[in-house]
Amino acid sequence: MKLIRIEEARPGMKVSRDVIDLRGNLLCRAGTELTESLLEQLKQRPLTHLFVEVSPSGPAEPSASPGRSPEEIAREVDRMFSGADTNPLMVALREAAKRYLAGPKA
Amino acid sequence: MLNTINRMVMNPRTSAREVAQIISADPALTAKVLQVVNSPFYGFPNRITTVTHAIVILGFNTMKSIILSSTIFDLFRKDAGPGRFDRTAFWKHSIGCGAAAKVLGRRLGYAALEEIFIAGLLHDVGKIVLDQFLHEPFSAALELARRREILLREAEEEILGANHADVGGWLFETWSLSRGLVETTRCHHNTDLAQDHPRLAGVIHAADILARAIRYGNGGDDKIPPLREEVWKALGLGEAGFDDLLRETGAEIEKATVFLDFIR
Repeated sequence: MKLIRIEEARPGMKVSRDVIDLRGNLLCRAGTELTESLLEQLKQRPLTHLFVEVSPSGPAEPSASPGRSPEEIAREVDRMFSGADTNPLMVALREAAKRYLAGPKA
Repeated sequence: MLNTINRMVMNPRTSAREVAQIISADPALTAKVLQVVNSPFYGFPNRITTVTHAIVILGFNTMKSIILSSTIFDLFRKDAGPGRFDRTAFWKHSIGCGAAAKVLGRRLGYAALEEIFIAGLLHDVGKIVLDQFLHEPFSAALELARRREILLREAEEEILGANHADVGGWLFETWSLSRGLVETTRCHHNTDLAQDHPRLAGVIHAADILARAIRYGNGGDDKIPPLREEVWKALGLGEAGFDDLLRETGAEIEKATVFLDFIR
């Protein structure tokens, strides 16, 4: 689930929570797929954001590094930590960062 | 605005309605407050539509934190001119640090998690001040940090003779903000300087490093300072479990992205 600005919403996206405007009116239910006309209606309402489902291919987390191989990520992380990995904590953090940034194993 | 709210909150006879009246007089601030309280950051099941309601639910201190961060984001919204400092990336790093601070605070059993989030969010405020008022030397420090692959703080000290933590601490002291916020800002690189809140300063020190490790946004340099072992030990987090901490921080960042709207 991801919070996006209404301007970023596109037809085909699916809302993952009920969409309620700033006055408390329910505009559409969770699970509704956005269409061109629905989007036009939503944009007329006092509404700034909505939650959409994240497609399996899209980045699920802000830290995801699309298009980078685990090796490239590892090199970048090594460079960032070089000189700072002077204690066991930092070594552990460096390795955890590589695992985190590479994303969940497929 | 901040001063007025500060004074009101200090007065035990101030009512939620009075504070709400002051906030409601500023439509932009009202919109921001409602946006934040209705964001996944708080995750309330029902829509909160009035400032009074928001204050009753969140309390004065949280409301003060929201106003403080909104004010700072507002003051320093625009880029200071041509230079290397990317303010959007900067605020992202700040949000990352706030998120990490919240995660650590929760582990440590702190009750005032919003305040810890704000302390993380604002820990690097000195960089914005430097970019705004000492733009050229600060740009030179950014360039030096990049070229020599050193920490921005070290480059600032070399060029300016002071670093962003000193400047941020000074700013918050001048604004009469809480001792906790002054010390987390001033001491996040050197927790030994903290006199009243060394533990809180330690949380922000560690949170800054976790936020850098997660590589969300960028605070102006691409290096990571060492996490001080004695600080980590004093926090009592033991055998780290960094994988969990990073994952939780990532999830917390997702919830806090509403703060990025402050700079739009």
